[in-house]
Amino acid sequence: MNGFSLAIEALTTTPALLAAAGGVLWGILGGALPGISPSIAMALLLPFTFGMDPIPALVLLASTYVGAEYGGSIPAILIRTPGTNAAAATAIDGYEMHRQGRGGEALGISLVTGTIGGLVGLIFLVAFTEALAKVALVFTPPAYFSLGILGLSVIASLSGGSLIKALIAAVIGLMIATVGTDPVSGVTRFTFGYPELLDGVPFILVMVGVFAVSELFVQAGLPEWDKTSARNTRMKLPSWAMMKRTGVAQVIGNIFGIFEGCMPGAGGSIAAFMAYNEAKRWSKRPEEFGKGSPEAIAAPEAANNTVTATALVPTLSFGIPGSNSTAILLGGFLIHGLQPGPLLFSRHPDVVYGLFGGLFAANIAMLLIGMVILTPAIWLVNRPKPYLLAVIYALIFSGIYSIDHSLFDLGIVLAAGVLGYVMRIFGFPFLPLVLALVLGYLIESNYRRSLLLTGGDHIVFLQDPVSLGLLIAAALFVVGSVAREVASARKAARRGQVDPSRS
Amino acid sequence: MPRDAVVGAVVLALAGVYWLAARTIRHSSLDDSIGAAGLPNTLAVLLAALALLLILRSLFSRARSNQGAQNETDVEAPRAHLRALGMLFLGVAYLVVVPSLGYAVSVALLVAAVALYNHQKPSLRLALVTILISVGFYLLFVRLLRIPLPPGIWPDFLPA
Repeated sequence: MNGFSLAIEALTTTPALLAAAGGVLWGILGGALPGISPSIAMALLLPFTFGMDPIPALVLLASTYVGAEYGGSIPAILIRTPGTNAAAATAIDGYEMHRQGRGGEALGISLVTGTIGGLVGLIFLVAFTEALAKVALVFTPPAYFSLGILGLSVIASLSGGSLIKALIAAVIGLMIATVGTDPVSGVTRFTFGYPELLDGVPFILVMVGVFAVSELFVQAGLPEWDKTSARNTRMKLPSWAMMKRTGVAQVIGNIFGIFEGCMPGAGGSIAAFMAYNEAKRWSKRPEEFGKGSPEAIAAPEAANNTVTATALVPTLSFGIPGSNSTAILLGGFLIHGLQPGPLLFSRHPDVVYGLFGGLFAANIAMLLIGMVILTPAIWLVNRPKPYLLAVIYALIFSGIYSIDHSLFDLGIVLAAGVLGYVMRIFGFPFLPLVLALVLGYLIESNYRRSLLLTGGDHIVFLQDPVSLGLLIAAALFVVGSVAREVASARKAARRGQVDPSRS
Repeated sequence: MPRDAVVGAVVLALAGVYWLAARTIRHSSLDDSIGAAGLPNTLAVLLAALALLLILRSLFSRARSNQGAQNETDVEAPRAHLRALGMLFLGVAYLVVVPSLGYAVSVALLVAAVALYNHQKPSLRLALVTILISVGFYLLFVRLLRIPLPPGIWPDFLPA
């Protein structure tokens, strides 16, 4: 059965369509709330996917990601407070348009260009991941170990300015991954007599704690977010003339979305700002940028919605999540016993193509739901923050308990929340921790299995051509990132010499 | 002392504690050449080395730029940390009371406490919203999703 048939079958024989619509709805509402990033909206859903079939569960999570990227533009345009990081570029001209009484038009442009961006990204995703998946059969235990190392090498580019802190976060993630039963000998490690820890610390608990609970802790110390008075804003879809005007910006956004989505660590925010700058450079009316230009909304919205699909390329092909949101999606795969990576396409083509079909449905659903969701989204943004925080706290506790019916799990989530909060305060990035936690078992088990097969000879990692290639790629990635870090440190040092007041 | 140096010292201490805990991992006749403690020991050493690097960089760095501050959100003030601690306390309190008070009552108390803690004024509206939210959660999780959430002591008072 070909991919198209599998996608159609998934959409017609499973609740994937319902999951796509539900995910988009939840994503738009979550994305519209300042402080609830796409990854947090997804993390809050993660416990509920536990009891679902894999296809609707993954479609639900991926659709939440799609919806949240659009949802983030609603407060960005109406109250100049981006609901998501990627919507920050949209806030510049979107809010200006709103002040000029063109908020509905800005929201319409955001919705349509975002939908087109998502569909373009999906086409690229389908074409590219299929090609990459053909290397599946040549993967051996040494190659899997090296794939894990390549995944960890991505950390170098996720450092957010401090490579040492990113590496510390990764080591702590690996440490958490060592809790439980040793994969080779069966000896227990760091369980401290708790039988709940024999299977290790479930990453779902760490993800929900680090992303969602720590955000609650942060929000408790922040003032109430702004409210919008624009309760009667009506969506206005762009006319054909407007589509023609924003066409170049749309294409620029798509290109940056494709490129940045495939690069681990880049993500929607960078794509959106780069697309904004390039759209200004290519625009016939660059002077309007910053003053309410429709092109300045089309480019970043196209870019960040394209990323929602293209960010899945490294996740599905290699099992390497390049952003917080794709890390949560990876968690969704692992919950259902599916390991994204080279063998996913040959072992579970129904799931992969079902997800693709679901993503297509999600983008169409976003267009339809986006046209009618505006009023409820504005209502939600205007709710008192204390109630929203209370509901989210209750949702986390109820959702996590429903996974394993364990109060112990709730304790782990709170502990992970404290860890996430401390990491935020001291500038440690989250993604290396999550990446290491997810890849830890893969790396250790395949490393030791490889050595068992060769009697402890490490040369096997260099003899296997795939393993060697992946290790070289990892080394290049690390060297490049370290060079960038050193250059950045030197630049900062020079700035410090020139401007002592900064020190 | 620069803040990163203090952070590095804490991470160094964490590496030490982890290393000590790793020493308690049992040996097994099924062990391979690496052993169950192999990776943990390596990680402890790696973490210690990174912590030392962080301390050294912090102490000797002349340029105190805002590197690494990208993720440092606006949660810097001590008051914000105390507020976060309060939220943690409410979560822990929920864990403590839920086995005895049961899910329905505990989630209502959690909702009310979190709302009050976050400056929602006590009012009839707060009481109504709390009841509405907790009943909604109860219906969703216990009735619709059939999750056996803790019933608490209440069934003991019901006639058999």
